Amino acid sequence: MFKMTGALLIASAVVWFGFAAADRLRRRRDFLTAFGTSLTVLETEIEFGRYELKRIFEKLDGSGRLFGFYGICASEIEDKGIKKAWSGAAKKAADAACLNTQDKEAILALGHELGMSDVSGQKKTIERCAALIAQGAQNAESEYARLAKVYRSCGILAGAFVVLMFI
Amino acid sequence: MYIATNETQSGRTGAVNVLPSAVRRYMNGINLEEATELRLITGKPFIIRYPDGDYYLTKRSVLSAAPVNTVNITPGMMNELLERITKSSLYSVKDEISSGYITIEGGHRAGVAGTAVTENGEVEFIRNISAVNIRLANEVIGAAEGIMSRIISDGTVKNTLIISPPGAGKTTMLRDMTRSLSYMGYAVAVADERCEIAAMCGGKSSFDLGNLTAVTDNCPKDRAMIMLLRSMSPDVIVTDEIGTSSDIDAVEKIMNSGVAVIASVHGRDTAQIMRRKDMSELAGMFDVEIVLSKRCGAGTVEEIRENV
Repeated sequence: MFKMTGALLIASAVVWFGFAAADRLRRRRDFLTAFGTSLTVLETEIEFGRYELKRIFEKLDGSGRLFGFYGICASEIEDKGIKKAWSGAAKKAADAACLNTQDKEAILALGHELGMSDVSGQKKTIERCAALIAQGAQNAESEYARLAKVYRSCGILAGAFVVLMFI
Repeated sequence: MYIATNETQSGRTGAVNVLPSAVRRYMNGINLEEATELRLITGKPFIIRYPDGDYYLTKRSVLSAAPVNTVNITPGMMNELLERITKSSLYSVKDEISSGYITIEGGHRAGVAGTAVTENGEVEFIRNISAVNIRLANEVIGAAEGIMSRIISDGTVKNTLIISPPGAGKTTMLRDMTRSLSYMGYAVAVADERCEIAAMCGGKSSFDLGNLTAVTDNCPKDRAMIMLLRSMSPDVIVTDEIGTSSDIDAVEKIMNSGVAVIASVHGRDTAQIMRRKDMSELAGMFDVEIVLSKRCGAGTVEEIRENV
């Protein structure tokens, strides 16, 4: 009985690892896709609305797929300034969304220039970041399509293997 | 003499809030009630201007008439100040910076000086900003109390011109006239080109301008006045610092449309205004001329002249 319970526990853990690995890929893909969309809104609001960043961030803070990225920026921008608020939010989001170094650097680079130039400068900066994010989102999508099923299947198979080993 | 509200002392919404943290830490206990300006120049001590003179902020959190142990403005502080003033959104105040000032929360105005970037002879931007002068706005409820009876006759608002040198309270007077007229039931429209009368922040006026006041700001006043005339069916149009020929044309057009105009102009007295060719024509168009001075404090009414 103990052997069986132990086997099931280990098998569950192994399966969970497989699913967690697949979920990490999904989170990165979803974050980058949602972030790319938000950059389009950010650009539009800056170009046509000329709204202050705080107001735009508050407007953008709705998507759960961004792990509260814009909400953090909105709440901290007045006290810390855009660079610190943005980089703080980017680091938190990067951990939550399992972003790789390139994704993180692209987001951080935007924070260094956001709000610091005129509209045309802002447009160029956002477009540059959006191109990198789109590329990252494409990679994340193909990685997810290629590896998510593999991770899940590996988890299930490894779990089954553990159970068989114990029987 | 005007008594300023203590809004300027407010930490969150007042002018103090935009100061760099390294300056703010020494501002605790500093009374800004009578202060008129906060001056920040890179490499120089932080100065607060009062009607009786300039004072330096010291590292002991006290004001001193002598520049000893002062809080000096560093380039880092200036950058922080600009980030706070622009709310980290330089693009949203680019036009204001081109005009040399930014209106901040509370209606205060931050004048900026630096290297002008020009294109086709027009100032596009000011970079390397090295000096900021925050002019503290005062809302003086009742400032126009004594003159309201002179500008309204049989329920009709007279065309009124306020003549005043800089700093003598013409904008404060216009603001209170706007508020009073609005509460009296007149539909007032404000053409606020330099964002001084209403000091709109986030779509709301920083001051109480009454329930019937519509504001178009940051727009050339001649165009704003015509837009407001067409769109808001006002009883009165209020504007600040008229002077160009297009302003005069717009004022004439509005007066001929049956809408009253209350405007201000820079000048010491009526005689000085009459010596200027364009202005003499303008002054003749108004029913009432009010001359302000700083003789007994800002807002001293020197003369009220009615053109018959």
